[in-house]
Amino acid sequence: MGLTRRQFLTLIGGSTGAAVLFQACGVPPEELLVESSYEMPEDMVSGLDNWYATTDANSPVSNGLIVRIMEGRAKKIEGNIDFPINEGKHSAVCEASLQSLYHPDRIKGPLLRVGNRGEGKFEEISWDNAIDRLSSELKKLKDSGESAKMVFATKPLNSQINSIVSNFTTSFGGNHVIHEPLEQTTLKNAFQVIFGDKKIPKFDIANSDYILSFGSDFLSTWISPTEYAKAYGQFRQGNKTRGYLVQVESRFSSTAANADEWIYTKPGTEGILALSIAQVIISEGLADTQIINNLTNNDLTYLDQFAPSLIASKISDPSQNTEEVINKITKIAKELASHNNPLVIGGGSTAASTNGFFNLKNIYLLNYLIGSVNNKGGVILNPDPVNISDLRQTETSFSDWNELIKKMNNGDVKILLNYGSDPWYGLPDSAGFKDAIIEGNNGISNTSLIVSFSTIMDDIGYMSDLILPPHHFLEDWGINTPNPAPGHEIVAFQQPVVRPFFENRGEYLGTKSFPNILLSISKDPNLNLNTNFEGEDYLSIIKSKAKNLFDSGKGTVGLKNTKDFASFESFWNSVLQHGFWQDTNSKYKNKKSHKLPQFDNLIEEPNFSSSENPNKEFYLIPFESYGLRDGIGNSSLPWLQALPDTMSTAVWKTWAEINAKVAKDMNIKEGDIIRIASNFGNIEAIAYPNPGTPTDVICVPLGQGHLGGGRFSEKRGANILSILAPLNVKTSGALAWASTKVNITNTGKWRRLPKFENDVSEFPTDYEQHIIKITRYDT
Amino acid sequence: MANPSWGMVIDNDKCTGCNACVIACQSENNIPINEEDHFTQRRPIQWIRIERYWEGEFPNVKARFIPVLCQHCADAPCEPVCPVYATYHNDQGLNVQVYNRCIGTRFCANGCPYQVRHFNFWEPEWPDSLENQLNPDVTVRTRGIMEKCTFCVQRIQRTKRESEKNNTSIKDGDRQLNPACVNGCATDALVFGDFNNPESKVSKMKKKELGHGGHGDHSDHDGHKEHDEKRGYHLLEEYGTHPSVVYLKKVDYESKTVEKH
Repeated sequence: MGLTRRQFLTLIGGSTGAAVLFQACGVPPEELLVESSYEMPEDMVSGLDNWYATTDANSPVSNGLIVRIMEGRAKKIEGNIDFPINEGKHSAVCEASLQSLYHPDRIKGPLLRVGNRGEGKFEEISWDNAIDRLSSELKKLKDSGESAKMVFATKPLNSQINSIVSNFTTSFGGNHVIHEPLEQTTLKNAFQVIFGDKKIPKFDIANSDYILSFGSDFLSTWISPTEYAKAYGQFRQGNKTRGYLVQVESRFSSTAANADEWIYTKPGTEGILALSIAQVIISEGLADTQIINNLTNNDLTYLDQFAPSLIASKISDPSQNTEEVINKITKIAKELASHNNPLVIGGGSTAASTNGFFNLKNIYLLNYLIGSVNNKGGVILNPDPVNISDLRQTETSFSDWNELIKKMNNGDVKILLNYGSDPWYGLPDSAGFKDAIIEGNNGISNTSLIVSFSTIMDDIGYMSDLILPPHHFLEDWGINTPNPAPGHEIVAFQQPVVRPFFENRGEYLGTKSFPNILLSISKDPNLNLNTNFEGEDYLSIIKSKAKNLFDSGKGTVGLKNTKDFASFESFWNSVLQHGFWQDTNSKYKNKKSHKLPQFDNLIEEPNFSSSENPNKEFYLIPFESYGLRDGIGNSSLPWLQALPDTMSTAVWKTWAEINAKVAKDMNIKEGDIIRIASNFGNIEAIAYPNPGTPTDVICVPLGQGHLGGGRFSEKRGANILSILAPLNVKTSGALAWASTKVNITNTGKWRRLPKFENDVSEFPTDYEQHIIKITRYDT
Repeated sequence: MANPSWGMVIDNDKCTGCNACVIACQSENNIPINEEDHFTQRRPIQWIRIERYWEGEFPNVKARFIPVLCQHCADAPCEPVCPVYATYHNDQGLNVQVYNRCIGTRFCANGCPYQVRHFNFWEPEWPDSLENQLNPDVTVRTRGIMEKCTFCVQRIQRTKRESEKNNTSIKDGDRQLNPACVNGCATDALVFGDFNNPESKVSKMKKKELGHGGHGDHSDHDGHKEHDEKRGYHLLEEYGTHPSVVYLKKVDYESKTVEKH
């Protein structure tokens, strides 16, 4: 054998005799090659990992996820590539659920309040003790014939948990209510009227060639942003002509920034603009005559009062040139009508002015006018969810909550249970929920028991008397029907990918599965509930639902047809492995009973709350940032707190977006702490002047200003929801969260705004050399 | 077979600036939590970041987004300046940082025109139980050393080992191979692959899009051919660093121009 130079040196340098001996014994030469480790330490042989499929149960969208598990710990979350909604993608919020699983301030066992309500003093008790307390309180209420004074509040749930909560509450005789700060009630009501169905349709963004979007920040936060962003990639640079996106919005949002054209309208006038576009299409005969007749009561002059020239000044900012606005409306109307696969969507702040229903109705009706309903690239209506159980959502609007708060003050709500929602944080102060909980009418709250199923000490948990911590969604079973569905029936399965983190605390402490807690209470013979659950525990209920799917013989799991599975066990294993069941053959069926409404031909103006100084007032537009969203659950996670906001790159604080020129006139510079005052309260926020914010609005993100939420969220920033006017959207009764007017004053205080971008407003003038300064040139 | 040359193509026309890649990276690579103070002191660590640029003023305002990460330059300015060879170019086109060699001179950060090298000014801390999430495949870096994007080398190595074990070749676009940011990017603006493999998606995109005066097939929204220019470019290509990341220009129809970031 030949000696390499290195081997030769080794032989000379080492013990020659031993080396010769080794060589003679046939020791492989590479064992004598000692190299310094120039490869990265990552070159270490890594341990084995497993990826398990589950479902994001935190949001009604129910994205399919796969979770990487090593040594019993969850390490990474990614999208499930086979799942037809998010197609392998996931949002920052999904990713950060790892931090809520391992959060240092996660509640480790049942807690009982020991101080006064709201003082935040708790002591740990055992599960037996905790459940006994809740059961005996429920029994007391029932025995005194006041069962109706029990209220169960949850976030919107699309899972089996919803039917368990409803079943539990109904059999007790109480009320199941839903709370989310930026509710979708108006949107769903509009869908009901226009499409004859409350379910959210699939928006075929990928195949569309022209999208007109009103107020919906669908690339960042609106409804199903991961799905829409995936489709947006195809819309832009797929195997087709590049799509054109027009965004109509009162805020310069992430979607507006990515649009080819952004049109500012005064808050709440989007519906008027939609009608103006319809007027152009109708008057120029750009749509099918039959459809025009249906939508306009056979009257071609039906919408003439919405002609662009008549409404341009109503919807635009005084600084905008009216002539330009008129041309723009006409241009968009013509483009919309001339494209093959156009799509019109709307939501967000558009739905949250007092005329939100009017806005949405006329916006979505445009889809019928241009023939994009159930057409490629348009609005694809979803079939009814597969009939495995009643997974329909309960709905509660803001006006229902007002009624409820009245009841609380009158002593008609004795026990308030809460899971996943946070009405303390999410309702405006003016609604009076906080007073009802702390003081009531006579200094003592009439709601004698508040029980919160919180994983972390959130705001409502802070105010609770008893806290029963549930498992994290990664530790529990579940079955979800995603809303919006992908155009066909789908059921997503959730399985525990890790064992409960606090399992080692034993049976009496630690966390428990939320539905199992309810199931065990419902079995209490003293309560005598007639619940009819289809199993002893949650897993057996889910299995029975899966069995129904298996027995139906419809659909597929992975690539295999349901009817080809030999047994339920193999079907069940396959469902858990893939994370979902679907039936791609199931499509929307026309509902004959549905009658298409007509366009509104009366202008419905938005109402706004007045402010103290009407001469210097701004429209207040609260918005969701990509990371924190509505602030419920997400703000306790440091990854999301430290995630730069898309537009401002601000982090960790509450900031206020204000137009740079307006700020200069008001002598406000970045970092100045400004007071934002409505007639219903005021908050302080750090000013972020920028060139994108319209001159007459001020935009403030949701998410901060929490009482609790652990070390990363408590007492940080301010809650913009707290100062909103208690106005309702007409027809739907939802909170009109974009109809508050505010005044702004500079407090004279300053603090550096934590943000990712640099403070240098203009880079050195060396444009040729500079890194990423945008240069513009014609081709 | 030639060694792979790993690289990325970033389509600015697809990027929405959402920051999903940033979180995906932080989760995969054990990047310390960026606390509020880290931002006010301008010292947050983000191996990949989204830069946002304003253009114009309301009502004619635009904002542009561009994801920036280590460009893994073939002629990297950071490599020759390191006195201890902590940063070097490996045989797979990666610009690699050897943490246990680094002594924290920060010369490399001075040399890098892309500002993608980050210094650990603090000992990284994960409160109590959050440590459970840390990726065991990735070293936690101590205070006083540089770190930067590795193209998720741990994923590359794992896939390489597994393919050697199973005697298969590495598949283009394998999700186990893709860096975390690529898997997280909802719009598919980021594409990762081997530039030495002519059949890979990145090679095909590079071939189609890089260079000027060619025949791109981008028509405007009316279906008219407006641009014949290819969209590919390198960030700061005038520095001659020969990056392994190809950017594709955003298309802006309003002004009938192609925009370069």
